[in-house]
Amino acid sequence: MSKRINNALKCIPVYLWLIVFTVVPLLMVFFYAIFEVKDDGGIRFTLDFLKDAVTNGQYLDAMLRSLEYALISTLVCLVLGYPLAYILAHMEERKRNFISVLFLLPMWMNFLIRTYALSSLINEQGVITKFLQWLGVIEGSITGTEAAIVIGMVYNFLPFMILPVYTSMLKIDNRLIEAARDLGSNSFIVFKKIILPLSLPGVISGITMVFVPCITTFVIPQLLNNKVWTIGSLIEFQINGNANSAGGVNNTAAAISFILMIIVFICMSIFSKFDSDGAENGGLM
Amino acid sequence: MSHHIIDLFNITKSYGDTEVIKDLTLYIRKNEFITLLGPSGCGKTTTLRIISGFEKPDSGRVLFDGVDITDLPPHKRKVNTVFQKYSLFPHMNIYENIAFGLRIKKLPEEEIREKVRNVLELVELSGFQRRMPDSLSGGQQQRIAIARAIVNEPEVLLLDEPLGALDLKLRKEMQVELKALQQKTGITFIYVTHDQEEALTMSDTIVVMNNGVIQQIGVPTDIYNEPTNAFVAQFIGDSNLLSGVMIKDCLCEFSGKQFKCVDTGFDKEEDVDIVIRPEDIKIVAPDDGMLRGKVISALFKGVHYEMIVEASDGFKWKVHSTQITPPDTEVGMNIEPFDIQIMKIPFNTLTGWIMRDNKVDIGNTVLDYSLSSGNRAATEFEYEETVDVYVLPQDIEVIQKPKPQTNGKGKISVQVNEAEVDLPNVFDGEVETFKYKGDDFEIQVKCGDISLLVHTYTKVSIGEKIKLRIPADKIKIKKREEISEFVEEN
Repeated sequence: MSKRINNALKCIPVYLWLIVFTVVPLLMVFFYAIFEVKDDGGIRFTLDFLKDAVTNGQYLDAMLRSLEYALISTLVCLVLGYPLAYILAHMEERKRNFISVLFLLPMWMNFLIRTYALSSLINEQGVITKFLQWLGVIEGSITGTEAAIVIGMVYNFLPFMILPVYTSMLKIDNRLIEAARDLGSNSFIVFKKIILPLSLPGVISGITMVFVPCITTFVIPQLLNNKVWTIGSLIEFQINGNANSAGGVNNTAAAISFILMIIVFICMSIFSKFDSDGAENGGLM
Repeated sequence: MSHHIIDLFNITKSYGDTEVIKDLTLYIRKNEFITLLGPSGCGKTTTLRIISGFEKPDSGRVLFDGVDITDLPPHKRKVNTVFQKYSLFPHMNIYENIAFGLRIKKLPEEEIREKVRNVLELVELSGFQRRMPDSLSGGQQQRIAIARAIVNEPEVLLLDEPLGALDLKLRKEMQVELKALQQKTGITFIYVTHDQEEALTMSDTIVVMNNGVIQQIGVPTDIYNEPTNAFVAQFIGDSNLLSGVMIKDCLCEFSGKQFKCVDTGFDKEEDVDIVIRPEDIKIVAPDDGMLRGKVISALFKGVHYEMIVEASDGFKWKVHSTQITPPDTEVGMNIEPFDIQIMKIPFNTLTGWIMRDNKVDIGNTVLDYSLSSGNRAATEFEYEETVDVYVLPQDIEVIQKPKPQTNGKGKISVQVNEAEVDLPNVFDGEVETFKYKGDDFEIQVKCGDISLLVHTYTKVSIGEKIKLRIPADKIKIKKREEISEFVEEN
């Protein structure tokens, strides 16, 4: 009995943290999405903010655009990151450790600074812009285009795709690959039936780690293309410039955030459904 | 002789500077249960991986049914492997695991279902199709691994220590099952193990390997009763190993006495190894025995007692008997002539590279060699040509480093005999193993990458740093092509 109490006591800091920094803020977002705080301090229940968030054309546009950028960026990260992770996992150990540090190195720098750095490479005077102009691939600057946003997202979040995929590939026992070859598989079948299904958990967590920050980021669009509204920049704008409720609380931002959370949640459950299907049926033709 | 299913010709394989397999030639007959037996690092698993195609030999050929398959990738070979740690695919159920090879052959689903059912019946795990591998016990997983291999009806099944991860009781059961399975299916089994009992129980043929060289090939009873050298004798079963001298045909000397034996064909006064199995020694009254000693311990081993008898020369004999002789009893020991196994002392076989001025580099030291022992001059070889270097253990001299001595004031003075150290062909080593053989000592000395067997009268201890000298006229150099003739000669 006392042991149980003891164990429960040990967990208190964790619970406290979760309550203060996750549960309460989430409830507050939900609360402000459906309650308006009046000037006299009283509160009023209303679904107007939520209704506005899902019917306002500007918000819907931003939402769809963000979803599009996030999906494209995640796909690009997957297409680039998966082969890179595969190559990395099959290098000899010393080389592999060195190169994975190189991949991690930019992560040690602040996200904002990295994005500023990228911006200076692809704005009108940027080296990359000049080079591409010289090649005749583009006219004008890269910043300010939709591609700039995707480039920014891929540049910032690619390591988050590579690392989990790389880790899951490292965990694949080489003897399984030998067993498959022994049973008659050529390299393609080994990849399809062993490496791909066994690296899928890494792919799923990679997708999660890229998709969620992509769909919510406002820094990247702001620095690389401030002409388009994404859902992140919209929320930021609402909070910083447009308090529509007493006490500096922005009900619209809360409502949009709430809807965004639901969308992310739905996307994540689709992804993880795909994963558990893979784990069960990975071997089926 | 029945048909050869696999032939290995002059296989060599090195990893970096370590030669794992040295010029191995071996054939495997169709339908036999052959076991590659040896301590870890003897090259048995590498040999198996060369047959399965996962390793490519540096030189030599692999034939399957008379066809050269040396360069064929594993997935195109008609062999299947049962791996040491089962290696079942964790993301597939048992049905999919077993069906894996059949799917690749694009068999119709109905046939696959039928074959999976039959093979599961064969390994006594009917109805396990839907289970996942991690829900099975070790023994069950191993059976599935076997089923997954044999369902493809391979002509040869390779088994890499498949029972190594199982507990003793299960291992014994599986040994019997595997043997029965081999007989039922008629598949050729090539089995790798370091467990001599497992090899003796199951095999039709045993190949004993050590340091990448085949020591002996034979049926289990021959391997046990007629070991060809001291390594095989010690690796298989218990034995008393002594140094002896062959006086003439059918007469040998060890422990200071002469004994009749049944071996012929040795040189006069040739140094030999002598092996006597503990169960072949009869304990008799002290005055009736050929040898005399005192029992110093007696242990019950289940079926027999094991007595240790210390002879007057200090050698401790291991004696097995169904009757106990209590400790402190003076006893005599008798040995029948046909129970005395006489073996040639094996050469240390090293890889060397010819240098100028009749020198040979054996990896970490360069030795002079003499032309008086029939060796060819360096000019007859190509510079740095790879050759085999043979040295008998009794020809290597041990030079002990003088121990540091403390004088009265606690200062340490080291005396080194410079003359000895400066002799040619002297190099450093560290004693790894040490064994008393009745007359002299047999020690294993590690010298850099190589390990040498040395017979010496000098008493050393394990871990001691010593110097070794190989006299130039005791080194035999053979060109690589000449090896096979040379081995036959010996």
